[in-house]
Amino acid sequence: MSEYRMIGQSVKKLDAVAKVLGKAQFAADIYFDGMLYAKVLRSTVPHGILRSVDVSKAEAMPGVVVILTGKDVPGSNSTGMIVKDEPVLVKNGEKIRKIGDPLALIAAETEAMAEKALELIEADIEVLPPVFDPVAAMEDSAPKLYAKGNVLAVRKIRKGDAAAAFQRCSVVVEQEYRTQMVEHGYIEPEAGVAKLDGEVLTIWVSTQNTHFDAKEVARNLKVGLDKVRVIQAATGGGFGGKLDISVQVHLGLLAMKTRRAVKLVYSRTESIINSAKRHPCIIKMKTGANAEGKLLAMECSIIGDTGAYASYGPGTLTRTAVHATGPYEIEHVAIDAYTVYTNNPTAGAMRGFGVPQAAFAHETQMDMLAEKIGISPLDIRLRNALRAGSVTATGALLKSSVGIIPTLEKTATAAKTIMLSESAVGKNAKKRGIGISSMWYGIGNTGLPNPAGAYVNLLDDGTVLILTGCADIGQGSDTTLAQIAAEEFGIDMEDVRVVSADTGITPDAGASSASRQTYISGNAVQLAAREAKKVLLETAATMLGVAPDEVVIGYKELSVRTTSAQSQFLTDCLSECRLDLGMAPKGKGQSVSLADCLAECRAKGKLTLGHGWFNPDTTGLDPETGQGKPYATYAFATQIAEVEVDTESGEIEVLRIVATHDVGKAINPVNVEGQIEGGCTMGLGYALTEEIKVKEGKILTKNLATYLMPTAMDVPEVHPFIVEEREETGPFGAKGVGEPTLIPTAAAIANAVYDAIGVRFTELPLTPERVLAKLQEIQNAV
Amino acid sequence: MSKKAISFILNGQQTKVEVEPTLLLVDMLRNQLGLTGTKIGCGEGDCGACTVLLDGKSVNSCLILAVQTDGRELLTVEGLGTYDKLHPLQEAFIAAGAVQCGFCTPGMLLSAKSLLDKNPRPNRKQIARHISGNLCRCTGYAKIIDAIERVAHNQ
Amino acid sequence: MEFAYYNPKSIPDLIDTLSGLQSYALLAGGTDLLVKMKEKLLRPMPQAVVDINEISGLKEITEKEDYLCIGSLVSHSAITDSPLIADKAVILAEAAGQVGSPQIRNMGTIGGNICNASPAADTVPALLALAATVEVYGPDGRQEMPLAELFQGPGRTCLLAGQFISQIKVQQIQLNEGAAFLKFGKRKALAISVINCAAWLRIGDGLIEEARIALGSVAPTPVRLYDVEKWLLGKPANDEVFAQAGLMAAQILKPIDDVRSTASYRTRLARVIVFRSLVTALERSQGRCSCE
Repeated sequence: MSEYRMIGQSVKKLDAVAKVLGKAQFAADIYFDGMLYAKVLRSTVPHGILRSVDVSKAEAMPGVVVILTGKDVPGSNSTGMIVKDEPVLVKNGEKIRKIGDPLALIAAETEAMAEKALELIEADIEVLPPVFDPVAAMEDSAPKLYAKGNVLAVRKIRKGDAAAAFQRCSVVVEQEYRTQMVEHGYIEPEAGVAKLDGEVLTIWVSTQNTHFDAKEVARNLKVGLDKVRVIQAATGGGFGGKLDISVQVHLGLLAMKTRRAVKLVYSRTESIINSAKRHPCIIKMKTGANAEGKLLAMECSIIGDTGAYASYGPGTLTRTAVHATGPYEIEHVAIDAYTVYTNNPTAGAMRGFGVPQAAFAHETQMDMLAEKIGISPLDIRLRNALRAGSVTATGALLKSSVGIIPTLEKTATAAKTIMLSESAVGKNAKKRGIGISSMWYGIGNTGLPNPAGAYVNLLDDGTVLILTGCADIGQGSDTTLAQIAAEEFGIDMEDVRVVSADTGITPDAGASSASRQTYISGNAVQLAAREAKKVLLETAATMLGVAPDEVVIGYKELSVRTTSAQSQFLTDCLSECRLDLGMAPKGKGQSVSLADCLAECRAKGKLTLGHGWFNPDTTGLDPETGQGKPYATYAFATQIAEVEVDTESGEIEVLRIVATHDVGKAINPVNVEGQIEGGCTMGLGYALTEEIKVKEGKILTKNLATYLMPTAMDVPEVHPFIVEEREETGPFGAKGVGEPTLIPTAAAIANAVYDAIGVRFTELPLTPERVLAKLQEIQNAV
Repeated sequence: MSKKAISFILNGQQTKVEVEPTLLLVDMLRNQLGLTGTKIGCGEGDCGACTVLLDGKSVNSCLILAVQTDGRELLTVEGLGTYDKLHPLQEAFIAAGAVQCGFCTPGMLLSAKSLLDKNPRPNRKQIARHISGNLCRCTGYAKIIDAIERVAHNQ
Repeated sequence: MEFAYYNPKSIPDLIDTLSGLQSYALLAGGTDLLVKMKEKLLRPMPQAVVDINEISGLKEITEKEDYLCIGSLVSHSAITDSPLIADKAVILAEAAGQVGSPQIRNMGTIGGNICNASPAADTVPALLALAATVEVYGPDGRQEMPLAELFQGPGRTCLLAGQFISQIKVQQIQLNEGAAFLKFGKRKALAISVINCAAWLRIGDGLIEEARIALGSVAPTPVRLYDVEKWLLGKPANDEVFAQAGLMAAQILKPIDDVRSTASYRTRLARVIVFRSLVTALERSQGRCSCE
């Protein structure tokens, strides 16, 4: 018998009906009479100075209503997630730093007219020498994107004395790892519509954070934040790629100028070229252990190419550094992570936020160490795994909810029956292998305040309205928050409505990123619900003649708490007698219905209205040592992959993945499974087929024919499992799961490939070309 | 060039419109007929978000001219079910947890329908092959295949 | 996109329409043409689009003596669904079944796949291995030519203005013959070939009486390996010989690097794919084998 009514139930998602009917309104689905269509002129040069933009020919084209350039931005002409270094529109005499930088905006009566006029705008650009290699970019002699130099940020973590500790290591593994640039690939390209109603600028947009959008728009357009309303349209996937400003400010500018509705929809190519990517990283990792396999020291340096603009760069590389040890105790660490500017496409937030890169490195290191020592990959992880009481590389004490060992054990056990672990040699020289990988992921923004607020209103008829700034981007946050409220008030899902991500109505909940919303918005909603509930409990207490702390909420009723098994037994007997006599099971003095209690509240002039906000308990990180408490809680996971490698063609097929994730508490288990299955698939692509190929700052893989994401025929069997190591500070013990699901997959696959063919890969993706090249190397060496 | 008058059966109803020959089917549906359930994900036939059924067969409406539908039969997601009467596939998608962001969902449903209309009892491999032209970035396809399989077993 | 639109209803109509146009593109399935037009890859952009989908008589699959005749507008789906092709020219069904995706196969046509003239086209190697000929219509009447002579370079055929393909003829696979088609792509669907190969063998008394091997994605056009085919004649049909054939193929071919793969990888794969295709072709000549 479950502890909860709603929590832990795989209830249907609130938005599912509208979505299966095709009625959910995505931004590109919005139409207004007299709406204009916008297009953006973008730089085809990666580094230069904009001398001038001649719009005269374009302006003369039929249907063109207005063309805007850099001089037309009323407020601050810069935007950015952390550093405001990105131009809204490049001004004359100012720098272009990447292909795709916006130079002009057109609004025209039809999309075709806007496209045609776009071709007639002439931009005069003075070309500057570019830099594309992040290592070269760190040299003083490299072309500088910014006066202050190309190294934007350095994150250092120092604990103990790594150099000395290496002396005491029996086994040391040192490798350089390289990971590629990848693309979010949400199926819905960026889109938005803006409209000025009187003095309120309303923008509907595909986004992960309406409140950030509104702040940027207000700042760039120089209008009051109260006069900007950003409403999240149904959003077709984000994965971190819809955090940066895309269409919002451009639309705002055009709507304000024309006083007409304006729509801007990116083509797929425009989306690929302009949205921020996952940081390609070069990771040099040195790990040392004693003869028993206990990790003693790690030295690591990470170079992340953040491209032309910072976006979430510094945050990403901070995470890479903080998580570089993996979910293991290492007493002595020296880690440096560099965020470096180049004239490549901008890199920013992408699911996992720097940790998939780290995981590829640390999990390969673990396997290499295990082999040298002569223990199994599972054993070395069990011996070093973090546990309650462990201290991390940043000196944070993990008090509880450390589920890494349960995930290791559960995955290993499940894999025994699920996987057919023969290294079979088939007719076509196919070899099988199994690989394991573990991860940890801090929930919430690293060492930074990131609160979420919510309002919960229990209405007269016992239905509930939740107002939350939390953007549901498909992961099901609306549903999760509704489940929390339904649990708190003892009502059904049908009785809850969630209004989310509308800055005109909802409070700020921060971004739907960092796997933070279940934990942070979940807490905010729970706090708000409990504030409203307090009024209910007090009123019920008066009605029942007991103290408020003796009242409990059941299904649409409030009753007197039974304090012992015996009194519960007596209560049940009494209910049965009453039922036999044809009476209601509970009588006066034992319970009141929710409806009656609410009526009584109103009769006494009380509203059942609550507000709540929550900010995780963290501290910042020391700039020299990285010491601090960056997160209030962490997610943990282990994945095991089984692969089959065709040694003649180099093709890798992933047959099965067993994935166990510690989520604290699975509020909606089916949705958690969905995250695991989706994350493993994205991880599969990261491991094998996805790569944004860039040449001289230009993206060559600029459409979905060349940027290859897994299709339904490419996915393995995924077996998801859930571990619940209760997080005391989380709503009903919950933490988060969105990004962790992607993080260990590539490493598990790489480790499995080693098991299959004895080839160690230190570079992603694992392409057939690379497999064959390595196999050839081995053959030649023999 | 002047507009062409075309006539086709759309979601069971005889429909007459006048279109420019250069108009794409997906744009006719979305912009002219107000049926925005069919989505544009890439415009080049590589994602399947624009999938509709043309004479019962799944096609990418972003690569078809509206004029090519003259005299033929079209089914979009709007013709599959209503709030009051969901199609079994729509119910199965909801029940199985197969809907995350929902952008691929209309195309997936129509591909699934065209499969079950032709082969009422496909196995998982056949299902995967039939939806291989519909990309999903959220679900990893698992629950989508579960949902379709569930409907197949119930038939 | 801007263009004038025509949709003739018969072959004489089509010939007539084309004769009056300076610049045009034929619209069959549209899965290549519309992408190229959207990406502005056609230079110059065609001023007219001639939709040939309503022309009668171009969608049949019929048997004629030892051949199969396939209308140029037959879709890839129709090819994979055809019992006649499954029975007598199975590699064509296998090849058509690996084009793009179900949606693309429902619209894309065999004539379009040929005339698009991508060196990576999937149906072409299978057609070449079945000694395909094409029937070409034009203002000067009808002619038949070997498919192998049609291709001139990436995206280019020898068809002149006003000419079009109406029908493709392939040899049926007989009892002592076997054929195979293999494709390597970067994923299992919606994948353009990294390399593809079709092999056909006629065996007599354990010896190779005749062989045809065709590859795609390794040259500016799909190619027949005539030298390897000649070398195979009279040799015993076994793994050792096939391995040698694979080696020869790898030595002859000079593929290129492109966004999908590298020349060196394609060369390595050529050896593997030729070997595997020949092995499967032999298996099939010996009776039914369990293939998917």
